[in-house]
Amino acid sequence: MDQGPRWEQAVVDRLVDGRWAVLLVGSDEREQVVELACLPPGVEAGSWLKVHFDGHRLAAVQRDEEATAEAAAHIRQKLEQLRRRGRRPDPS
Amino acid sequence: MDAVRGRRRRLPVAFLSLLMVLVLAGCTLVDGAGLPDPQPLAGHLVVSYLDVGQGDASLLQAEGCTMLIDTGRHDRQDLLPLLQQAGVTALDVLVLTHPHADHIGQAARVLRTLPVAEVWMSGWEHTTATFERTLDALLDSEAGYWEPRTGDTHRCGPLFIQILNPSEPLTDIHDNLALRVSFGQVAFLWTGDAETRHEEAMLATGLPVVAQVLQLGHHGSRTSSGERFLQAVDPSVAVYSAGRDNDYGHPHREVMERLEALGIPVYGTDVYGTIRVITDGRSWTIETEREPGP
Repeated sequence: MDQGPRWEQAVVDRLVDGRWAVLLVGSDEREQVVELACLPPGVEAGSWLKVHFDGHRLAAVQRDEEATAEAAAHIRQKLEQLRRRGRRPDPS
Repeated sequence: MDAVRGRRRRLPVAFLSLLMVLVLAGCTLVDGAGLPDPQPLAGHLVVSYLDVGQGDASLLQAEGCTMLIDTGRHDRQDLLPLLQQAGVTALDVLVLTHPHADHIGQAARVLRTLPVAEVWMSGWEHTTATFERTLDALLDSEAGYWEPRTGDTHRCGPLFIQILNPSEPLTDIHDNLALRVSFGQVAFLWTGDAETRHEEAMLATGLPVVAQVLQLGHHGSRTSSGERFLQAVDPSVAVYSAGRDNDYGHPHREVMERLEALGIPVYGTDVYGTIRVITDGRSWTIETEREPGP
């Protein structure tokens, strides 16, 4: 029975040379490099996606705005904690 | 500051016995030099551009200061062995130029293994799990945290560090930490993945950018190392970090041609393996892990 596409979460780690997008796919952050043109318009570094790979070919992709917002909120909160911590006192 | 041209093939006497050990151990020697003991030597700064594949990691070792700039790729586990081999037991400063996984990849492991006094980051809020793991490890550590900005300075032992980028507000993830590190009369420059527009912004600040050794931005990509910037830095030698046969064709031919036209020799980790520059603050030598292949 056809189980349909196997969707995985991915995040755009970086855009390289205006041509490539480096995706970190799944919980093991497997690196997949795809043509930027294969991604939906407006995708940028830090965008979360739902992707379906057929081998190394990106067969389907959707933006995941909810996951993007959730990750951004976690990160901001942790960075704020660090900013409050600040620099180490100068021992001198 | 007057540019000090480097001397090659002239190793300090202290290195000669070490060199013999390396010869006996079967290390490849290049230019009659090879890789000396990377641990700090009195009165010297040793800068190692570590071969971490298609990523970045530079280790600076001087008496009173050990610094690491970027931490290699997230999908490799090569950095800690390289640091251990170099005798690193603690870091005074860990600089993460920007939160791409090929620059902060092993930062969490470093932070969970070595005492780190202070971590510097650009402050760009990336959303990857690699970045979140880095923040978690940093929060669990006792390291201080700083987001330096253009014009900030810091002394670390004998090293003087000047921040050239970024300024507020950050425009994008490549608007990253760029720093000039000077030791005596010899200066080194790192620009992370800064692109030509960020290089232009650095020039516009009027801060000194002249450096004897320049690490080419963005692994030697054509997005970086603009001609005006190269002319202003006026390096005696350029270094880039890239993986052999990488997906992006780094370093790009245009950049290599630009360097050739300016008469600037270039060393890449894809060709030479780990590249090490040793300076006494007046002159410098450069050694590489291996010779270029056929």
